[in-house]
Amino acid sequence: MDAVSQLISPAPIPFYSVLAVYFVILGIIGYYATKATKNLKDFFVMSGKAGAIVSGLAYFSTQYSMSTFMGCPATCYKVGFAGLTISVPGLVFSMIIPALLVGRKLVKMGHNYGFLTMADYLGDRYESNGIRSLHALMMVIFLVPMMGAQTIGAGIILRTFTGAPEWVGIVAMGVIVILYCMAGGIRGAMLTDVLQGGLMLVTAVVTFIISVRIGGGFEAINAKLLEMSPDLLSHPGLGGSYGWGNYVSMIVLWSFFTIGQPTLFTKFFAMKNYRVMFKAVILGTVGMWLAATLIEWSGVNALVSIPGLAGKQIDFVVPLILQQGLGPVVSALLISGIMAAGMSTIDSLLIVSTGGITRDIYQNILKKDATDQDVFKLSRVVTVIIGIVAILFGISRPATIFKLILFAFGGLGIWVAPVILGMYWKGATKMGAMLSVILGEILFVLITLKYHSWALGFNPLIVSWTITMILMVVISKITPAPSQAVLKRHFEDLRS
Amino acid sequence: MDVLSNAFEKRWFYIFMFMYFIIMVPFPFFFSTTYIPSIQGIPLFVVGWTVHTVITLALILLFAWQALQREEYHEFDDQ
Repeated sequence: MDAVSQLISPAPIPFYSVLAVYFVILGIIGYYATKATKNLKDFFVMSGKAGAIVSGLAYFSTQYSMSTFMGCPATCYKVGFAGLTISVPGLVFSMIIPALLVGRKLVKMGHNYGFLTMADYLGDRYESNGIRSLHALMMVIFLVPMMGAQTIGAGIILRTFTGAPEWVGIVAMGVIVILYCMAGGIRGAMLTDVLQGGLMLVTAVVTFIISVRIGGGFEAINAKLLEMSPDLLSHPGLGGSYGWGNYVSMIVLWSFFTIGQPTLFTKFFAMKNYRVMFKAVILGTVGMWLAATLIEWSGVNALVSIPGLAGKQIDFVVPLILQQGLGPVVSALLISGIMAAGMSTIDSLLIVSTGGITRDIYQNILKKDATDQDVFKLSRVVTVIIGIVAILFGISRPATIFKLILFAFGGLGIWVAPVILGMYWKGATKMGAMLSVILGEILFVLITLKYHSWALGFNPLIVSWTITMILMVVISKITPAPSQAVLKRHFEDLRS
Repeated sequence: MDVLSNAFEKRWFYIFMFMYFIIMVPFPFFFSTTYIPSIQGIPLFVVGWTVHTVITLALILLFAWQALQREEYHEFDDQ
């Protein structure tokens, strides 16, 4: 028995029962989504007809993964209130900045030009199948193992609470997501995201209330924390990892750089109109703010509520709080909220990865005469194949690859340079975009792996992206300008 | 139709950028290397973040309301 299992009371019957009901509900939503998914545009962007509640909650639940409910509270447990820096101070900007800078244009281009993927935009703006393939390939390579990483969380939770082997949780979670995504496409993903986002929110609120109650109230908790160490109540936190550089980095990472995440970028293509965009921004922002603040704060409270956790036990701080304060059925329901966080991330990753292969590589490069209906049918098959590969990743747990991939996922943020310059500067060229992204990614890898001091105390992505922007401007100045047709389509025709 | 060419969006862009950068300034109510207690002993910077978030949310609501009074934001309403 490991250290975590000694602390947690296994409750297999309530846990299996709750999961069974939860999966059946997801299945019903998936079935409904299937009936409404009839063509390629439905499959990838709901034919641009997503409403506000679906868009807002899907944006929020896609953004938040299992680490939001396990890794982040664990960090706060280790460092104290400074750990809330991870997402709380900059969270309010995580949707309004993308909406203001690129959202309105993306909604319009989705409606007018039929864009379905991020590579559709990049390929069209830079008149290049090269950049389209580069983005699609990078995206698939990074996102598939990310899905595997999320399934591992499900496996660990199921093993801890029921004693079942980890692969059972990985396969169960993978299969249910594959089914509703294969059948219902993005509609299946976004509709289930509404349920999952709601469950995540309830889990965060309840966990917070229990953590405060067990700790004896705010005043008692904070007095105890002060007694333990004043560092738990100030920056840079216990251990010193949240200094000002990291504080600024976190604010920028969780707002500006979400523009580069394909799962979030494509949500704008799905939005019905601007009214939906604004409602989604407000709903999603409030949801994210509440969930992140309360769940991370719960991690700090747990220092007093559930003292003495060490090593891997700390990752289970949220389930432990729930088990201490609730009966087995309700705690199982809310712990499944943590699995919901993983599922709502995987489903969007699965759909955009499918788009990368079927739309960006197959239809636009390999077989240009493939009809949308051919690609629609192929997309369902590819969704299953990618999902199975992700499950295999989850089961095999190639640790070193995961470490590489997890930071490389951050490298998708480099793509914010060609997106922003492509939308705001007519002089941005194909060569400028491609070369700067390649060099920016190399720089990002070098700083992250070896030359940490080059980051100047900030996150490596911030420095790498800044250099990418400079490189793109310089290279664009000395390479052939975009065609007049592209400039007209991406600037003049969008003015209104 | 963007923050450079549309005066309405440009004005709001500057407002949000002001709110964005001000929270990065290490004022003691946003970032503090010493413990400054506030209500119930909660660190002052947590209260500072909350107040800043509420103000920004109010600005987002105002921006959305003003934007939806404008013709260009109703382009796809009939679809």
